[in-house]
Amino acid sequence: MTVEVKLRRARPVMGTILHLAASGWDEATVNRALDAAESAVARVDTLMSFHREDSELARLNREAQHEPQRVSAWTYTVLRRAQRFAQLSDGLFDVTIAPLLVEQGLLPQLCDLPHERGDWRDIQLLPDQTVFFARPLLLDLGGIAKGFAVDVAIHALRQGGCTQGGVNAGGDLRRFGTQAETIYLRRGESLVPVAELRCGAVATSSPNEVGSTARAGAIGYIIDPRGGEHWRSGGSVTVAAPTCVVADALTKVAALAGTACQSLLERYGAQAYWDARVSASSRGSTSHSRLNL
Amino acid sequence: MTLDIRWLAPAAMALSAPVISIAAQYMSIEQARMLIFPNAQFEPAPVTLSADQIKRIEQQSGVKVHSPQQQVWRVTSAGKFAGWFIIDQVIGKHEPITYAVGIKPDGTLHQFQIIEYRENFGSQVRYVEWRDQFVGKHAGSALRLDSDIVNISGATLSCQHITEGIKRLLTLHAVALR
Repeated sequence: MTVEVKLRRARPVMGTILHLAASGWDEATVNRALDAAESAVARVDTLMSFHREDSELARLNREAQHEPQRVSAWTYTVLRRAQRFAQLSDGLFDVTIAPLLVEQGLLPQLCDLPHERGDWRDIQLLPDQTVFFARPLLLDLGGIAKGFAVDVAIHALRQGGCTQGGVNAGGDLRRFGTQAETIYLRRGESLVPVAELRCGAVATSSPNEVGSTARAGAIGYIIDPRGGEHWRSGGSVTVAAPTCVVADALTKVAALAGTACQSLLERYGAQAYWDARVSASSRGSTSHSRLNL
Repeated sequence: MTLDIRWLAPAAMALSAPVISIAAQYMSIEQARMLIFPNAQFEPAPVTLSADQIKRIEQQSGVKVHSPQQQVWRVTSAGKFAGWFIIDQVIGKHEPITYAVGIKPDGTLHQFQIIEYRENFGSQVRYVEWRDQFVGKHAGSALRLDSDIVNISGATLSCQHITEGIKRLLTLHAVALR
C-alpha cells in the first residue's frame, strides 16, 4: 500500500525562518521538490536582498541613477508588480521608502542616502529587463520579495510533483492541496485562530511589532510613504489572496487605507481581515471595517 | 491560482483552548544524515572540549560556548573520509533549536538542516475581544488546534543564533577536529 509522506524543513533566509512542508507519494520525490524550493528562495535572496552588497538590488541602488541596469527576469517581475501596486494604491505601496527605514534604523546603511526624496514614479522600467532611476533612489523590496520567494517555492513544490505543500516565511504564507490548515494570528503572547486556508496565500502585518523589535528589522512594520509615519495602532491587518506577492503588498495598503481599498482587494481576488482596534484608529476609515468581499 | 479560505466566525473564536507549545520536528537525525551525507557511514566521535579549547573557540568565533560536550560523527563514503556530522543546539527566541551540520574535510560548511524548532506561546491560545472584526463572507468552521502556525515571531533572532552556531561549529572543527 502506498502511503503519502509528509516532510518538513526549516532554514534561515531573508532575515526570517523559512518553513516548508510538502507531501507526496515517495520520499525521494518530496526531498527533490523541497531542495528545488529552497534553492529558489535562496536565489530570490541573492537577487533582491537589501542587506547584501552583491545583490542585484544593491547594484540598482548604486548604479541605476547613472545608467540603465539590466536585471534578471525575477527582479524585473517583482519591480513590475511593485509598480503596479504603487499605481493602483496611489503610492500607498512604494518600494522607494528605504531611506526612511534606514534613517529609523530598520535597515542597515550600506551607501549614502539620496539627497532628495524621490518616489515610485522615478523608477523607469525599460524594455529588455532594464531599469533606470530618474532621481537617486534607494529601493527596498523586503516584503514583496519575501512574498515572491514564497510563490516561487510553492511553484517548485507543485512542479516537483508534491500533492500538498505549504511555505511560511515569517508570516507570509501560502499553501496548496486538498486539506485545509488553520491560520493563527499572534496577539501578544497568545495565538488566535482566524481562518481555515486550503489554497492560497495569507500575509499579516502587526504594528505591535514596531518599537520592541524594530532594531532587529522584524516582521510587521509599516510606514506611510506619504508622511513617513509609522502605522501605529493596536491591532493587525491580514490579507488573503491567490498569491503571496499580492497578499503581502495589499496588507500594507489595507493597513494604511482601511476600507477605502476595497475595490483594489476585489480586483486581485483578495480578502482582508481587520482587527477592530485597527479600524477604530486608522485614518479615513469608517467606524468598523466591514467589507462585502 | 485560486484562493480557498474560510474565515472563522467570532463565535468560534470564543472557545478557549488549553496551553499550547509549538514543537515542530522537521526531520529525524537519520533523515538529516541522509540529506547531508547520502549513503555514508557515520562513526560516533564525541568531543569533550578542554577549557583551553573553549577559550580559543570563543576568541576565534566571537560566540560563547555553552557546553564542553559536542555530538560529532566522523563520516566516510565509499571508504573515503567525507567529513564531519555534528548535532547542535542554539536558543531561538526562548526555546532551543536543534540542527545538524555537515563539515567538509577541508573545514568548510557542507550543508545544514534544522531538525527541531520550538516556540512557546506564553500561556495559551485564548479568546480575546473579537467582536466586530470579522470581514469576509465565509464564516463558521471547526477549530483545529494541532495545525501549523502562521506568523512565528522572534525569527530574526533565531536566524542570527543559527548563523552564530554554525560559525562556532566551524571554529570547533579548526580547534578540536583538525
